[in-house]
Amino acid sequence: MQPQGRGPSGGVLARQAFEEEALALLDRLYGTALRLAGNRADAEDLVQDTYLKAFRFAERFEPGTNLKAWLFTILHNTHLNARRQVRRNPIEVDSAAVEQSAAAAPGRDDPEALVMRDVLDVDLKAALDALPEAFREAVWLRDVEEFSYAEIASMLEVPIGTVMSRISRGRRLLHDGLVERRAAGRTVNL
Amino acid sequence: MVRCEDVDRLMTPFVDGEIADADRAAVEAHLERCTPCRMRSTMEAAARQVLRSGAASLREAATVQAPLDLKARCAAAARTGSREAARSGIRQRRGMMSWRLAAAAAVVLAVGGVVGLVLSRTSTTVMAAQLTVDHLKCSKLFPPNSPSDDVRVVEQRVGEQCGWPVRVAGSHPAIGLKLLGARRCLFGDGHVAHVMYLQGNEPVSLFVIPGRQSDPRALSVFGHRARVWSRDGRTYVLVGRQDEARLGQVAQYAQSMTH
Repeated sequence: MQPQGRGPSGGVLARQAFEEEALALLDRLYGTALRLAGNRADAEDLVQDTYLKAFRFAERFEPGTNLKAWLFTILHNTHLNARRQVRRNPIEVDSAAVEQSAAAAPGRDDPEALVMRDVLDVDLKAALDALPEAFREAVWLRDVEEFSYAEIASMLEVPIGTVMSRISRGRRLLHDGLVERRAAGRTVNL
Repeated sequence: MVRCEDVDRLMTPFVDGEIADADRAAVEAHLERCTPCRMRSTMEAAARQVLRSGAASLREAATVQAPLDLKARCAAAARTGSREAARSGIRQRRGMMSWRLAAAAAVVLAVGGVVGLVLSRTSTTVMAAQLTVDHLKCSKLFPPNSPSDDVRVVEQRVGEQCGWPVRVAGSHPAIGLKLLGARRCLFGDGHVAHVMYLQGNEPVSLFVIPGRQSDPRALSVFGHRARVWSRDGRTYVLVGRQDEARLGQVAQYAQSMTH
């Protein structure tokens, strides 16, 4: 959790503005929860628990900082905790071995240049979905949601160095995936 | 001399343009003479560029309309949260409620919410959120049980149902407003009167809540607009998807007719 902030508890209006702004992000959080939990029932539980915690600990939010990042952190931490407790779905990729292989993975000698305008949204989405979860989350939070390394580190509960190596490895895996999809003729060249 | 392992650690901030100047020079010098590292940085930069240019549509695809009852439960969580924050000593020891228990409690709060609203000092935002859900439920599921556009008939019936006199504003063709009828709000357990209208093809609800005082406010909740005002010991909440101007017409008219 975040350090003690001044929170929106300064006044009724501040509290209302905080609630409004938080509730306005509900569809974003629900979409993320679906991606993390993989099914509607767990996603709904996840979002609801996130709001219960957010409103209960509202005074810990620093006004003026990124509310979306704060809510995403609660959502991700709650998701990680729920997984740890039930131990039925251990994090897909989390071992030291994987982090090391991520660092040591060689680049291709002659990578095919990826031409941006050739990539369709649908292929990008499919290539992202095909990434191992740990890498996909890191890349998603960085390049799609545009959070800082530090924000992502607190969401995923890993050191900043690990966040960077996951982003780096995830991007290169994505690059390979996109090149392969194009080689397989699934992309229409413009 | 910078080694490949060192460059590897700096690759992402380098590609993101968030690297310290001193480190940048070292990385650039290394990339000049190390083909594998240069390839890796090219690949990472290309993937980053594709992602960034696709980010808006990826975000859009990842924004999923949450079910209405989930929205209601989350809005109810705002109330639970404020109340719990008030008795801060207890929550630290007790820890989080169990999942299912919390979910069940929130459903009860959401469904029974309006009763609590009347009695407690809930935030106007949360009240508007819950009434917006009621507006959607009622206008979709429950047509007025005594459909009539005769103001006196509607006032008499809803007054009998609620047990207190309810002033109802009738149809007003000049602003395209048609009175559909009124009912005692199911979720208010008789504490809230729900007057239903159509403005053009768009449903509008006016909720009348006795014994609550709210400052006038205009809010935006779940894709709807809400206008809240109080007068003579009653609070009125007008809810619809109309634009500001059209809903404003209804608000102005309702204010003039119910006082």
